[in-house]
Amino acid sequence: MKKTLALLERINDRVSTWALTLSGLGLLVMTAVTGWQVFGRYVLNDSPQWVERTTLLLVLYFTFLAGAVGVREESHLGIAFVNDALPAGVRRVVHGAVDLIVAAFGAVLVWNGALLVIETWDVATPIIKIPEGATYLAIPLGGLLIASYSLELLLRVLTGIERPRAVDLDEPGPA
Amino acid sequence: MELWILFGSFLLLIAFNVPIAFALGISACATLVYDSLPLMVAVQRIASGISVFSLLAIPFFIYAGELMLFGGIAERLVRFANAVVGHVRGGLGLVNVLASMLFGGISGSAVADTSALGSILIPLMKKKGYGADYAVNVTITASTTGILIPPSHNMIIYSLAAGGGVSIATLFMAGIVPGVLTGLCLMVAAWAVAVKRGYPKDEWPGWGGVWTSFLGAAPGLFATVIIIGGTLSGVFTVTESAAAGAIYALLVTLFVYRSLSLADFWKATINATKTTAMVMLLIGTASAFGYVLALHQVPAKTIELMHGISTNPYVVLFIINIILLVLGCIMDMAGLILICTPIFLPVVKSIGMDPVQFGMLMMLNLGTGLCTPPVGTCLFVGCSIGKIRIEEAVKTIWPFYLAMFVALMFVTYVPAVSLWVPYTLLK
Repeated sequence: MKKTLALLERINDRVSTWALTLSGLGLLVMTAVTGWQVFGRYVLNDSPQWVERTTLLLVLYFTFLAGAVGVREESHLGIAFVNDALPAGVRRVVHGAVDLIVAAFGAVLVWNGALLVIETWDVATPIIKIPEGATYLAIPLGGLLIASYSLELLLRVLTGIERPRAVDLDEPGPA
Repeated sequence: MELWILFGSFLLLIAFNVPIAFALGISACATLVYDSLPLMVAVQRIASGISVFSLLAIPFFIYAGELMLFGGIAERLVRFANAVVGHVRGGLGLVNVLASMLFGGISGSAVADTSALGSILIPLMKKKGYGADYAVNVTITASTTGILIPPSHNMIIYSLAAGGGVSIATLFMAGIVPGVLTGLCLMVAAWAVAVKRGYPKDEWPGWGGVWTSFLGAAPGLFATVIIIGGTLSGVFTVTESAAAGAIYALLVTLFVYRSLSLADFWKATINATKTTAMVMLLIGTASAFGYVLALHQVPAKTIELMHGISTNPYVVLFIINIILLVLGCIMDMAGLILICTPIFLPVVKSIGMDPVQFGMLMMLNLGTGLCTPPVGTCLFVGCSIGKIRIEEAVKTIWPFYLAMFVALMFVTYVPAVSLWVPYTLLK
């Protein structure tokens, strides 16, 4: 089990860095193209139609990718005070159960998201003409990350190995 | 039965610290399974809840706030506020409130307010002899003015939750008076406590000093002009104005103040991405939850229930206020706006309240919840900056809660407080 955890941790470290870097770039691109839209409308007299579609696509991807990373960093808002009041043994069981439930939700996202992707692959999105399924692809991807991160948390509860340090992705960014 | 599953599983999940964003999605899925409906509906709802063009303003507002935080704009606002009200007894308390109102005009988020201004003002206040509890209390309660004073990403969420019938521009206008009113109430509380405790005052810098500090803060404050002016004049859509605000913040901090390094720039970007993703995921799953609520006619049933208790508007509003205050204590703001708006808005409409006014009530009420234990994001952030325990802060926070409650009563029972500005200007 410890080996599995170590492996999963390595994979997840890698994936987190990538997910956050891509999401950050997504936000930059979104900001830039929306600025471009205003510039286009007032200066070039030509309002680029693709901007809105592109930003909606980007926001879906970065919500699911960076939102999934939040699972691992345990930064999503929740109510901790009930758990904190529980005895340590019970708390571990609850923690494990919660990780399992969130992992299951990730699996629901993967399965149903994938069905949605397949069903809408032949439909082209307006204006930017990519398969609608490609926009929905963010959901199963995010679900996969959520499941993988929750499993890592679950294995930590089972093995009792704490996270060595909060992975500080702020530092080695490609800036 | 379906509703027991929906609300029961939701409450159980959040009680055991399942993140609220996931708890909403999971309880919605559980109910759909019981209804033998395909889960794909929920997944599709999550996606369509996120892909809304006007919501794109949220990442940009958050991004602008992060850039300003790293870029030192907050510091200049504090200097300006200090020049204006620093010479009153307990001056830094008042400075804190005023700076929060100014910064709220840029960032639109109470938590950003708390962390940006708190990290400057709380240590400074402690150094000048103010109690840490006082410094934390003023900072966190003052930061809630940022939710009311435009821009405010919570108002965008409210506009969405209200079903699109309430324009964001109207809400922005409506927030000005309640925001300033709340600020004034808090200043009175801050002053009264300061006098009682004998806190110091600064020297009056003269009008020259005020002007100099204003010039320093002006490039930062101009972001407000871009965002608000751009939206109201119709030059920008809300989303565009938010993006323009972010780009402007970047340019100012990079080239005018020259206070933002490339490393900080990337840090601000990643921080904004993380915060946004959490808010947007919450919006997505809340939209699936809302779909199930509507499917089982919860809003209509709530009207029936409330009318069964009373049809007196004063009583109904009082009850709703209490419910929101209690919920605000245990849950975070964005989630509550998304869940409670579809349930309570039809009720207040049925007693003749304007949705815009209800929005203000909700902002102020749930904003108070950000400063209350056991779940209060601003309280947590403030206490960790002030390095005091939550109990210590809460023990002396009552004058500030009282100030916010007074403002809340005005917003609840005096429609003109919220409606005069938008309906006079937007005619």
